[in-house]
Amino acid sequence: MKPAAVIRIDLASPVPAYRQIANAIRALLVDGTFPVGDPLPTVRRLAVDLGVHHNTVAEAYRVLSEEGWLDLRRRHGAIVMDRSRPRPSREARPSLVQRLRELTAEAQAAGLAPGVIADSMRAVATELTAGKLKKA
Amino acid sequence: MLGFIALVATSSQLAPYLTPRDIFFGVTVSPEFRAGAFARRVSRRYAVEVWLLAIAAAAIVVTSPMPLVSGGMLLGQTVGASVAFARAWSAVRPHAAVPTTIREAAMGPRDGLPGGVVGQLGPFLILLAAAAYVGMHWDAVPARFPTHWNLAGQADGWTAKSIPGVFQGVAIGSIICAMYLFTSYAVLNWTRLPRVTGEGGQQYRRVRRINLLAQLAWAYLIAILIAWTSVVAKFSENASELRLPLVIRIAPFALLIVGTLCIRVMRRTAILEGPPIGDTTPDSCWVLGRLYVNRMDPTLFVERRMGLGYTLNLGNPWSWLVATVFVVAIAIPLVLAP
Repeated sequence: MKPAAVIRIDLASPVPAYRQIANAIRALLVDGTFPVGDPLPTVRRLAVDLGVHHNTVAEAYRVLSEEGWLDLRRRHGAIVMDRSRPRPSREARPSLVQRLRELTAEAQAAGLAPGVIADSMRAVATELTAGKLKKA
Repeated sequence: MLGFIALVATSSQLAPYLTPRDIFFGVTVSPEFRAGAFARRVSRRYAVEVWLLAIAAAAIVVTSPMPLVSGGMLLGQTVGASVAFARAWSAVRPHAAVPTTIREAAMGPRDGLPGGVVGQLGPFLILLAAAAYVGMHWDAVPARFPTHWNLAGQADGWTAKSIPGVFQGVAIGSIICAMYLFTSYAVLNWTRLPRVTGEGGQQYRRVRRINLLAQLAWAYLIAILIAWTSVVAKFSENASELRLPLVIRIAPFALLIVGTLCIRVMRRTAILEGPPIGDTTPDSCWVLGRLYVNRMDPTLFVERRMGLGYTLNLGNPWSWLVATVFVVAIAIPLVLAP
């Protein structure tokens, strides 16, 4: 049996919990873990599992809904939507580079060597291109 | 009675060792803390207090063997063991470790209840069959029949024939089994697993499954006991001489011993790495290491920090509703019966 996908957050991280949850679920959506039309766990269930307030998970789902990943319906929970890759805006690439710089600085500050960071980024990029994004 | 006193002492002494290794007397500690000199001293002192209480209770029961004294001694022993636990909790608190802040959640479907739907409905079917048998043989029900047995297995409580009196046992049994079923469902759906990945995740899931299997076994035991009292004891020609079958008297202890041993072995062999995981509940929300009150935590049940099983998160408003329903549901048949 295929093991269930897992999301992990750090309550001590400076990144808000709702943002971490949204990022973790987005990563699963990008690599196609959840097929279109599949329901995600309910807000209440995810809040219990992660030990956070319901509103925190609801906010994460709202962020993903605004990005077009999820359809939030009353009584039906969060349903994965078919989301074609949007045309990138002019600011998208500089914004990505800026965020990568910040992430790299954070990783270096945590003691990771530049080579390790580069290898990690390459591995993530390979995963992404091998996954759903390549097909889109 | 002396056996019960020994059982309370043994279970009290074992209770702090049935929690995850990084929870010691209700406090989150580093995994290696338990093996240290301070922890051993706390354990020793707690064990001495628990057994001194048992010896004192046994001495009083032997010198004045009245039922009221025996019951009082068991209660006193339990309260005394709780005080000893609270003292140990207070001593360990300054040594609390900072637990991990990592939280994990599996996005797949939940585990199912052990035994499936049929297995979980079994106790209710046993009770239903017993009630149906009594209903079909209503004329043969004697005017007075035994409804309570003492610790030696002899009948010491009798009830007159009436609909509430005859079906009281089945009603109480059904309510208790429904509580077990609800608790099992709630533990699966409204309780957090501290880890869901790796060997640690497997371990937490196995412990939860043993707890759920133990609950199911208790439900079957209660259903069988009540079915026996409804069908066998009620229609026995010599009810006053009838004793509870030995297997029914032994089964609860056997179940307790097997469940305790299983969880003890699992806790001992757990692989612990990095910062303590504990049960992902903050120490500051545990009152005396026994009661969990956390308004920010949406869980309904959490694993107990002393002994086996689960306890309500009293910070969750739903927990008060659950507790009230449990108490009222048990009280109604007791109040209505003659």
